[in-house]
Amino acid sequence: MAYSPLEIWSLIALLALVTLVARGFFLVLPRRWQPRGRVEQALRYAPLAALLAITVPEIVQQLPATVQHPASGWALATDPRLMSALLLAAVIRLTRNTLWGLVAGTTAYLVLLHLAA
Amino acid sequence: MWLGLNRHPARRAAFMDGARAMGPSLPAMAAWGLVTGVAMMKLGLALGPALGMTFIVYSGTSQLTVLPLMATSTAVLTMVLAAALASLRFVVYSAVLSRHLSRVALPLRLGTAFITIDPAVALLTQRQRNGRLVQRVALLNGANIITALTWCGSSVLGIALAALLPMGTELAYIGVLALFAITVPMLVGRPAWAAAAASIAVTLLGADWPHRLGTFAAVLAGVAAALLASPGRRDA
Repeated sequence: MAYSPLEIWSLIALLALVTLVARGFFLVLPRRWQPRGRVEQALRYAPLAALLAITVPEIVQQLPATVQHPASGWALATDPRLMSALLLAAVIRLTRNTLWGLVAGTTAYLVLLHLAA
Repeated sequence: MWLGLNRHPARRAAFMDGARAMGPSLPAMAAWGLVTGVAMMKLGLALGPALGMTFIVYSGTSQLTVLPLMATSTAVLTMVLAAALASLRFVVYSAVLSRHLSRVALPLRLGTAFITIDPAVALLTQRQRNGRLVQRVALLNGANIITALTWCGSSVLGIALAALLPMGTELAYIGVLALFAITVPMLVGRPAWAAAAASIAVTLLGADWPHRLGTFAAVLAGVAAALLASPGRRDA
């Protein structure tokens, strides 16, 4: 890494500007350009879509390699990422408690990871 | 205080409500803050710039986007452009916030928007669905303040302990699980499932697209699917 202090702090200032412009974008537009009605209603699902778009690729990351595996059924059933996420979702659905799901999922992930190693 | 919490018991109650409602998402913020703090130091950032990134940039998305680029001595403006593209989902969030904040004074409006990240936007949209929408700005900022304290605190911890901690792909995946944990309860109703299906399909299709454009396309696809699946106009 070879940046002068000036470059580093310019980068930090410009990235802060990116944060401000991205997160404030629609808030400085004229009110008639802001979404209303059905579009505004559908925008409620933006955080759900974003969180899945961030997490699902990580959860299924090993899947292509797993399917190629000679004993693919067993490899799939012990895939640490996929199985911990499925267990987490099942526990949250059953107990309606996010924390229990996270505890179960994290435990399963660490156990499967060390079984594989 | 600038939110007038002391003079308005109802606002203070909403603020505390927002802070408490963030409980389930704090493990995700803590894990990601720690991972980001450690990553900044491991990749050779000095203490001052690492703290500057944490407190001034305040965007894990931007920070994790530029870190690998800094390691290969990429030009500053190229990194800023990459961070801007990776931050496009926040433009969609600003559209979500616009209805709630459009009548708030500009400094508080922009200040609030600057610190509003995923779990707080999710909280706001869920409270809206439940029809309990008094004192929105206080609720949002209660959620924002506790999120910021957790994120910055764990980042500083990661910066301080970077020498002792491993780079942590395990911890990063626990951060993914913690984010997934706050997503699962949101899957209620037809528009939500439609948004989820569309988002997952597009994000997997766009997994190799540069600058996290697959994530942005997935957010747009999710919102479009929810629009198609929603049963006409409903009032909140």
